[in-house]
Amino acid sequence: MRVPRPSRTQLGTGALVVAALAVGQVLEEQLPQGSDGGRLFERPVSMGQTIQMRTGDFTPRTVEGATTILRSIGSGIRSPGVVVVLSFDFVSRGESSSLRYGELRDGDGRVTVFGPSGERNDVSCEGGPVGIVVHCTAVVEADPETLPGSTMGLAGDELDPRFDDMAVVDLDISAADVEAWKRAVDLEVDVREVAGMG
Amino acid sequence: MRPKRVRQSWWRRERIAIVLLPVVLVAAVAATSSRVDEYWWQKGFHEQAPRDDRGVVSVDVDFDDGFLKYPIRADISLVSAERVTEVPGAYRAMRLPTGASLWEVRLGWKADPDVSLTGCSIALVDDDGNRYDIDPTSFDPGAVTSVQTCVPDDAPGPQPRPLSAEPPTSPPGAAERPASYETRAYVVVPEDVEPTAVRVWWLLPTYAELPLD
Repeated sequence: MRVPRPSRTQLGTGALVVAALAVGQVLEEQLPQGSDGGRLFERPVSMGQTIQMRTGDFTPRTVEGATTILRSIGSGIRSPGVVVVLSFDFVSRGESSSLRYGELRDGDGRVTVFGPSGERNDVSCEGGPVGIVVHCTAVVEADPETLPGSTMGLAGDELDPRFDDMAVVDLDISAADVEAWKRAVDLEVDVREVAGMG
Repeated sequence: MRPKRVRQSWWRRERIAIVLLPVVLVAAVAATSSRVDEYWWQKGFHEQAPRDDRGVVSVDVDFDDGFLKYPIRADISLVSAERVTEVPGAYRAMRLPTGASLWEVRLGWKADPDVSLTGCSIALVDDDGNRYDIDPTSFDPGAVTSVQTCVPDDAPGPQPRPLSAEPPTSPPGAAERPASYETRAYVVVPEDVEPTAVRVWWLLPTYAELPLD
């Protein structure tokens, strides 16, 4: 039986189909899948350094800790571990924007996610006027032994932070800091304050 | 004798498909763009209300959240927008954030008293695209200021009731809203910023823009 010989056009069409399938396969394998596709754009930052996030300028100021804290708004916390308090400044750009998503990544690799709950763990940095500094805090309880080497992430939307910038603060907590915090009590925390309005 | 076969070029043979290809591409993109309206068009300032030669902006939109629908119709004009160091009726000095100034925006309104105008937002904008919203929590005026931004406090006119699909109604005992009136709003703006327009809106994408002279 004689096998029909394909024409140049048929060969070209076949080659294009194979090439399209190959490109599709490569894209399928290379592009991020599922939740990984919507991951945040992490912006590493150290204490005192300012970074530009999509919605404004972020500057972490200090990190403190204690076993009990007293908040300017809302209830205090008494913790069996320690309460970590990150103070930071945020200046909205373009329009008033907030930071309402937080996550503590401790030294053991565990992640504690928190938002503007107003309860124990809390970050509720409601946006101030554009161009005006707002002083804010993020408060989170943690196992003291896991704190050295930990970082804290802060981003905009607590319900759907995907696709946006997240500041990742190097908390630079030492074992000596942790030992001091385990003995510290009644740390006073200003929850949020527009600069000059305290 | 067999007729001579005329060989056509590929472009000529496929001419109909080539003409239809852009149409099909446009149709394919349109068919997958339903979220453009929901996630972009309705979330931004895309439809500016018309402004006449006298600077009066006529807003004529429907508030429609899929649950409640009512018309919003008003003529808005800018009376003044200026930096102030004191608010009328002040009983103590005002306090502002560090590096900020306070702007007073006075707007003139003409609207049918039966039309609901509550729930509006007012902001100042500058040439760099920054928007400075009203935020009563960011300063202390040292005086009692209006709760409502676009209607008189004592005669707000019809208002929608929370969690109700009933048409907006006036609060019991409230005076009828005048057909024309003036409002004052206060906006915190950084000291080194010169706003260029006042922006007023209810439900986006429609908004009114009143340039500052």
